[in-house]
Amino acid sequence: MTHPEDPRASSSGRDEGSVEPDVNGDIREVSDAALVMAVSRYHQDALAEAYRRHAGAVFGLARRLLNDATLAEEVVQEVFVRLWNDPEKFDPARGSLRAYLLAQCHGRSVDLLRSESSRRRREEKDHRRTAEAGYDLEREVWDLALADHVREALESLPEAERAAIELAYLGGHTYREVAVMLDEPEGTVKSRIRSGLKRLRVELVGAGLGLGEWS
Amino acid sequence: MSDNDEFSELLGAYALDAVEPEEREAIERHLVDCPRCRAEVAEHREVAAYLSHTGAPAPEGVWDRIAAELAPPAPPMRMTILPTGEAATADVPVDPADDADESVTPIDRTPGAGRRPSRPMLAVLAVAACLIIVLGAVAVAQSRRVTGNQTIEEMASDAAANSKLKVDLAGDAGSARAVVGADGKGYLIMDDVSAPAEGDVYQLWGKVDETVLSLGTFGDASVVPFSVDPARIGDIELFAVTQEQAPGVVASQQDPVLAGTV
Repeated sequence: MTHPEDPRASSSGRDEGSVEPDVNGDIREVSDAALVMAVSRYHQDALAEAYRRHAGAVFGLARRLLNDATLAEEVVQEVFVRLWNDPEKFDPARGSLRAYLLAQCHGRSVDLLRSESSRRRREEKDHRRTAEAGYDLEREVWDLALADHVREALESLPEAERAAIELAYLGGHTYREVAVMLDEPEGTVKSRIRSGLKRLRVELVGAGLGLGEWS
Repeated sequence: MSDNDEFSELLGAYALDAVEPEEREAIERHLVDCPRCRAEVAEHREVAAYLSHTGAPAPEGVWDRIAAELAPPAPPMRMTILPTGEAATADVPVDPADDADESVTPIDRTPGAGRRPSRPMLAVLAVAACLIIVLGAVAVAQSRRVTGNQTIEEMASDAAANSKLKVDLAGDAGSARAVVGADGKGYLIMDDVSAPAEGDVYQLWGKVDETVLSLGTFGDASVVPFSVDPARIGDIELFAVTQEQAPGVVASQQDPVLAGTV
């Protein structure tokens, strides 16, 4: 089956009189959910806007996990190409686009981290990642108001919960690995990750952050 | 400890990709049937998104590589046949019915594979596809479109005048015409069709080579746009409309309320 016309080539290639998603007026004003809807209708400019909004955060997470800017760029590329190819996998009823893209990025990054080819390099870096995980957050240049809230929320956590979450999420370790690192039972670590995330949520909501509402 | 408790304890670690592969598979099987756990995972991921917020600018040069990689389009009509012959409906269309008005719920894309578990069971597939239908409804609602210079009725009228395929449908619900232009854009034009019962929608189906495709759902509309693959117009055997509970179904068990063969 051939498809000579490429409706994705540009939005201007569509038939006259067709109804366009409302993304052409000022695309920067469009919600993330509407952007993804436009992506599903082959609007490359909508994907470009999603990239403008979220690629920095995606790149930041990948680079932190992989400690390698080139690999991190590849993950960014993969995440956004995947959004283009499978936009229906993002469900706006289940969370924000930012969280979705970061979850995709995180999953792909830890897959790379855990792959056989990178195992040796990872082992060399393990010590450093373990040592740094607790301090990275403070070093980042964040949006200041948001950063303050997140930092306060993190600091309000019991130290054991904070360490478990940071080693798992920002270090890319499994809870079993975290248990070994912290010399704690696996069951304890897995519970702490969950309870810590719940506590963080309460703190962030209490600080007035509308979770999932990324500007 | 119940299964649910066992999985619940792992949800935080799962949301952070910190479980073993076999645990991930087990959790993902559980999530298919457990909306509460799905919601919890979504919440954890939302929180995690804050932890990684770096405020860094998008990396330079990567967009150009992405733009270069954007694939040629998927076929406008994707047909994924379910494994059982009996329910050989597709897990559905298609092009998102480009010219849909607000009353129409196009079902945008077929679900893919990715990191999600395989879906050997028909029931599982049906659930997944229903989620897509729901997503389609949500997405349409959030993407209200500006109508161009032509109304949908005028576009349908033009299509009828130049149609490559025209099918009369009739049944308990009344009568309608389906017209399809050479570009694959189709319109179901109601001549005399009563509104669906409250809480129900009408669902339009097309049959191509023993495969029944959902072409979208609609309510009380006078014209319903849909899209088919232009290359397959000649293969379309029939159109039918069933009445289903909102938001629609993957494989209908209902008798058509409107039907017409080519």
